[in-house]
Amino acid sequence: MKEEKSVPSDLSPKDENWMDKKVEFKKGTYCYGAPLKHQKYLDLPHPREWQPHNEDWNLPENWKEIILEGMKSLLEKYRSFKLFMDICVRCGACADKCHFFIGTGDPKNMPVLRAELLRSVYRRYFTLSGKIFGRLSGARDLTYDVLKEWFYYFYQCTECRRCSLYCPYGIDTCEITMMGRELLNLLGLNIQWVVEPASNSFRTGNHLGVPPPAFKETMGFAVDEIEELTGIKIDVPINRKGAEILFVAPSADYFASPHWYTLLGYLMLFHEIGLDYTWSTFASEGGNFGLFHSYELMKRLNAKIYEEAKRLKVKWILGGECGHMWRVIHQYMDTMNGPADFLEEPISPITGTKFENAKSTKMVHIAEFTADLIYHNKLVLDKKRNDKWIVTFHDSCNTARSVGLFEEPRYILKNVCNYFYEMPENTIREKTFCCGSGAGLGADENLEARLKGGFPRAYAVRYVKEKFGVNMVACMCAIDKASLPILLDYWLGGVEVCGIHELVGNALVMKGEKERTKNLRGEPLQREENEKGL
Amino acid sequence: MELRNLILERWLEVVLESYHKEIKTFCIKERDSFLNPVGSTYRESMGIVLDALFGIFSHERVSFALENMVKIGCLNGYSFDEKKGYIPFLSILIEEIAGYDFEKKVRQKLEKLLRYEEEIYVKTREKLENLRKKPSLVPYERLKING
Amino acid sequence: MVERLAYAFLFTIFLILVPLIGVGILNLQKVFSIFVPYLAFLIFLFGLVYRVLSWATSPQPFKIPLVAGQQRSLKWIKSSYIESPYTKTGVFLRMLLEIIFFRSLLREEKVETHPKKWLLFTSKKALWLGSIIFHYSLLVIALRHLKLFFEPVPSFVSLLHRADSLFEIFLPTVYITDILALLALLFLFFRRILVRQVMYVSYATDYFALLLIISVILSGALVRYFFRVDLFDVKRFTLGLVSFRPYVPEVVGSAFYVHLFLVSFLFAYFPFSKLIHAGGIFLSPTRNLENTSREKRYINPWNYPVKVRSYEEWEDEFREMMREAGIPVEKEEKES
Repeated sequence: MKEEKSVPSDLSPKDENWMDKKVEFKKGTYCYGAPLKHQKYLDLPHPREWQPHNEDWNLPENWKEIILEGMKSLLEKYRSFKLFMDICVRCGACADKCHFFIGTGDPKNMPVLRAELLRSVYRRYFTLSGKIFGRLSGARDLTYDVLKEWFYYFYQCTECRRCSLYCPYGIDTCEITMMGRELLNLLGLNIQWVVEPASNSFRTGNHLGVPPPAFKETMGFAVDEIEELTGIKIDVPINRKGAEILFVAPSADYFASPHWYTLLGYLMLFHEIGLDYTWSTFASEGGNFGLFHSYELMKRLNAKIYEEAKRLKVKWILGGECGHMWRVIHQYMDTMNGPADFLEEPISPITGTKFENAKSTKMVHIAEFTADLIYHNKLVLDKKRNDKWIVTFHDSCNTARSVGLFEEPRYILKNVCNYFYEMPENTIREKTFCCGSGAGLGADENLEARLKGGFPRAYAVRYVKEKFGVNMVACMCAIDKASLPILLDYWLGGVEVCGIHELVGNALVMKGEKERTKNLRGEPLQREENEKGL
Repeated sequence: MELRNLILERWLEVVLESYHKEIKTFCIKERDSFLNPVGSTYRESMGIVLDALFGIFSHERVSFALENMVKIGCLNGYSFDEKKGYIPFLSILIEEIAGYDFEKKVRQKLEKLLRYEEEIYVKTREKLENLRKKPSLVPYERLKING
Repeated sequence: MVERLAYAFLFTIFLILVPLIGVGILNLQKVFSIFVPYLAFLIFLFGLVYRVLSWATSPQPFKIPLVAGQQRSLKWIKSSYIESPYTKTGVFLRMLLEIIFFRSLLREEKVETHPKKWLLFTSKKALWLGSIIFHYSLLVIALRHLKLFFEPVPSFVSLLHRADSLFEIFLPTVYITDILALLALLFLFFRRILVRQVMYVSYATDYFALLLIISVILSGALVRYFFRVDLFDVKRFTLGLVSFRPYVPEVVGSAFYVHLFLVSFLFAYFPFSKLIHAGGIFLSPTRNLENTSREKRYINPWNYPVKVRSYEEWEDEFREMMREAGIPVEKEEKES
């Protein structure tokens, strides 16, 4: 009997129907609501100050109608939505595939239940069997509690699409979450970490709200840093009309750490191959937080890339290392804001390679571009300069499961560093685990949820750390670069995070450079004696 | 050895009590450690602690194991106190399963472990708070200072 | 959970009682042998067409394949023809694997740390194995029934009968697929009770669907093995149904009516329940689209213009700053 006393019994949930369990907004698990200013700037519906933990969400009076109308319209617009509402058999194959489920142990984070949150309402109002049999067939009324549950769980999904891989019908929880968020947005229920960057991006061109002069100034810092490291003064073209290529990167690359070193890598590479390109202060953001909000906002934010390419009269566009940016560019941009008939089919000016796979969208991923350069021996690389690092590669969800960029980054890594080890097979490539902070969840207030969601990823990193002494995780996503350092610091420590092009920059032997003694981070190139024992 | 395993299974069950019932079985049964990092971490760490209790006590290994457990706990609303914690649960279980006399034999070690747990708990909470405050936009800050 | 199970059992029992009472007590042979099957088939047909059309007519606005292999990009990188299809054939093969082999349920989960790898492998693949056995057995059983609808019996159907009854130990022949299907169904049923996560997400209708099919197979077996109905009479009845010259069987007994009614109910229930997944999988946009989003433009039929911030508007806000910082601007160029 003693252990009964010892066990915190109030935490242990009772055996109950999941539909009866109300959601509890525990601190650390949810994101804050969006500030009024930014909601207004983007003309979002029902703008107001609100917080998820408030009892009263100040909903418009006819909120039920709005949701049901919205649902109807989405069902008409998206075959994916309609189909995924109908064909699930609840086989449970997806249940243990979600990193949030694995990390939090909350059964409603099982992809099947996340979708059932919407399906139950769909059945009740849009299907015959739901109307007749109600609960028995998994239908339930749309209530205030259901709405709160939607908010809680659709903002606890990073739209990483891992579960869809294992679904025998290809049901994509990312689609479900996107639809869920579309509906919530009809009532003005959105989060700060999505709406604020989106509004900044709309106004200034980038998520951080960096005005053009500041952009130029940071590029100046980068130029200074590169000169200090290599003795070479490079040029960073901004808004240059008539350049061959427009380069678009996520804004974190020029304002966050460790993204910064990836930026240095890009700049050194472009200088070394003499690329005729330009940055833009208008299209100064590749990332698109609209994707995490609604179709419309995604399209509004994405429009500037083609518009700027047209204004600057470039031939094609090159894109930096980013995850969800590439989801938008690969699967949405051309359809939404194309056709890009004012651009030319991308051809690498250095190697003459035609990028057939980007023929229509006319935007090439920098990993494709660099891998091609290396393959054609256009770069002199000194792998030894990365000997300090024992590297593993984390596939970012979007570039993995939505684009299929698996070999390009690995090819680059194998050519720029001597020590490269893969994580276990069921945690990489198409089976990769999310960092836990994608889809707009990288806020500070939900740190606990993020750390739990990222645990499966951290666990796999720990495995290679212990087995091979890995001390660097390379990745190609701005959100990864922001969230993985925190995640790895908490769970294991002693492992750093970098972009692919940081390692390229380290290894790149530039014409006329002085002898390099430091890497891009300003640290000695080799491991210190006392670290060698690792 | 049997005693150790018995205690381990019970300890695991008690600790996972705070998880949802559906999930508890998953955490205990799923043997693929990459699919079940929570369960595997607990199992592995508890094994280390119990080995230390019954065999040679290594400060380093035990702290490592306790740290891994506390890290999971801290994200799930666990807070340390003398009665509710990983080691207090363990003490009760040992007394229950192996008897009071046995508990007396390892009491010294248990008390040591309790102090470790407290230390690690405080450290982990601090770390969590620091991580929350840690700005990821370092160069931007620098720019702000420059105007 | 108990409640959900109870409802599923009760409703199944109710369905079994309906024909027993209808035929045994009320003598409604005609209704149950002619009206019910025709009605069920009509509901099935229209329901199916309605459901599939409702999916097929709603647009798929974006090309969102789920990529599970290397994309086709640079020529010297080996791309994955099926896992990241870039041709119609690739997509066809992907769908084929999905539909014939349940590919997604078979994704390998290799584990390096676990010593008893094989043990893990089998337990992970149990769902795949169970559903493969169930679906294929059901298919064979359905095909076997064609014997009742054709005269003369097509040779492949006869062949199927012979292949399926390899163990001729019992008389009349026990079909392998009957046993396999039942075993698989029981596995799927108990999985829904014993695997806690799956139990948690199951509704009464999930148990009911399994119970319904179990009852269909059991009643079929009863008809064949225990009551030994007059097969000639049954065949006369089925041929009558398909030739629209309905004939009410005389000597078949109530077990046959139970079987017939349950099958009819299954048909009518199919389009309006989760069983419809069989039709939906063909349309799944994460599987049936090519990963060529950047190569060929995909058209969204309802793509509408949205409010954007144009370059001019943007420059208006920042022009002064930009000029001061020496960043090229549009208007200044025009002035000079």
